[in-house]
Amino acid sequence: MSIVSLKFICFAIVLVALFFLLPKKCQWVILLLASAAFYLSFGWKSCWYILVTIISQFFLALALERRNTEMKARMDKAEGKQKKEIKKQFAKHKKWYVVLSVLINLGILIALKYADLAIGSINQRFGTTLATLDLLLPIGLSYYTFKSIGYVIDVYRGRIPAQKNIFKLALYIGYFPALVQGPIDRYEDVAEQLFAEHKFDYDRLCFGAQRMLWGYMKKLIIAERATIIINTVQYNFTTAGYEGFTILFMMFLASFRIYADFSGGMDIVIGLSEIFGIKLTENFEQPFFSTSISEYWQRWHITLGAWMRTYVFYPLSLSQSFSKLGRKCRQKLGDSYGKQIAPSLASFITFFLVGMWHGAGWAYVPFGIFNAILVASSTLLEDFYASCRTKFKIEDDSKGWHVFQVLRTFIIVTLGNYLILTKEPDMIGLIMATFSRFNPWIFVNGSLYTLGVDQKNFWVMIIFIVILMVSDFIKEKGVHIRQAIARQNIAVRWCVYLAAIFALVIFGMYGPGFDAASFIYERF
Amino acid sequence: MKEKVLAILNGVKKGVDYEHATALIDDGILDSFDIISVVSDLNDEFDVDISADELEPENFNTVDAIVALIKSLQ
Repeated sequence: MSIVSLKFICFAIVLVALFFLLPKKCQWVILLLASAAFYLSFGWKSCWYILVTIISQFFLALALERRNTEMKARMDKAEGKQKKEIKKQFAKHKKWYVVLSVLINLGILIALKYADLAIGSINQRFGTTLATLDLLLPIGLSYYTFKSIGYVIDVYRGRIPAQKNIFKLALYIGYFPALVQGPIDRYEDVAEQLFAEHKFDYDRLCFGAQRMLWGYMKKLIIAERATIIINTVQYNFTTAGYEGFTILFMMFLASFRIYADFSGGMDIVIGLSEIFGIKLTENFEQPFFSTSISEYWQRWHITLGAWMRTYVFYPLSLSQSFSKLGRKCRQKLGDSYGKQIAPSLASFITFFLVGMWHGAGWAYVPFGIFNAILVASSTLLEDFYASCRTKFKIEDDSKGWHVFQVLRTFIIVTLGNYLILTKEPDMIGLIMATFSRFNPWIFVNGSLYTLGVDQKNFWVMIIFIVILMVSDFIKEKGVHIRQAIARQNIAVRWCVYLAAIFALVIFGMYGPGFDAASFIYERF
Repeated sequence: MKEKVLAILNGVKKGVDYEHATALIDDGILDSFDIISVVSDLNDEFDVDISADELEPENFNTVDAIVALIKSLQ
């Protein structure tokens, strides 16, 4: 059941009604049953994987909690350095539970996502004929895997208590709105809200519904149209002879498409959760207004970035081998450059993993490396950049410099699309085709209306992209748009709501049965 | 101890009013690279071993929180 289907909207309406009409004690059970129903709507064959995750994480977290209690009891009786020793002893033992948790869950993820890629590569490289596994990829696999691993590590660290009720843990791991494409919430941020009793709140219902509506508009009005143009150019550029600015336009459109698609999906699930009274973690913070690639990754897919930082980058940077490397580099290269080498390497590995996370294809490796180089170099060359700014008399806080930085970051992000939109041989072809012809007239001679979307629909898409960017600009200025609308009188408010509903009904692109294409990030 | 922590923070990133800042991490004043540099300097200066387990915003949002973290590890 896609979240952009009429079925899902009916499912959500019935669920909201049951959630608030039945006794409040049952609310978390209703959410659990709804999550199970949602998950099973994709087929029962892949449900074993999520069950293995829930059961394994439940028992491993309980075992870790027992060790934490023993450790605390012994530390309470000890003094000074003894405490450190006890902590060390227990940490050694406890680490094995975490290793087991990671092996089981990451093992499932890797086997399901990457086994066929590895087999295909072996066959291609060595001329073997190993059969691919063709395993069914469960919905939201990497999202619930990351959430569940984070949960066990947080129990290991003593940050949260282990959940004693396996069904409640199942709700945290499999909460259906966050199952499709995240956000990857930490247990401590949502668990209490998931299990709490919530009163019906009219304002929350309005705000949540508005946000869902905005999400559907992004997905059905912008992303669906943009996808047609992108697919037309991407898959036919050699046969149809698309060159120069046509390809460049497609690349820029791809940036808006992925943003509208992914953030639109987030608006739908965060809006629905808001109606229940559950505040999920935001995944986007106006990413196209970032002034650097590092900032962009702090504003784009925020929860994945936070997960990678907490559970990969920090542990790696502070590991013994990286600390040793850091000390050596500081001795040889001096303090300012030397101390950046180890974290830069850790950042490199983290971005490599982020790249691989995006897809089972070797094309994602250069995508990870591309971002890693940009982030690491911005830190390593910080002093050099500062001296250049002084040389060219550029003031750091001038408006012009800020606008330049925003545009530069957006262009770099767009260039990254060359790495993820195509397979390796086509990627080179696309780059060559971009520079093979200077044809700016495509913007005025109507060529853009022949890429699968007619003139009227093309301009609908462009107008809504402008609306999306203006709305982000207003948010960037600190204005809460939904609250600003809520402060208007009833006539203005309803004009806005009706305009949004009519825009969605008239301009939304949905096929028979109200089924739009699936979300891009749903596959991850 | 507080003065030494302030000196380390200023050494990593200048131009921040660390004494009055209340959300060094939550507001993105210190990024992940800055944090690693701060931790590495704190480990050397105070002979402590700050691990990844302690790298949570509440331990680094204020100078006082950093001081409290070091004291708890000494």
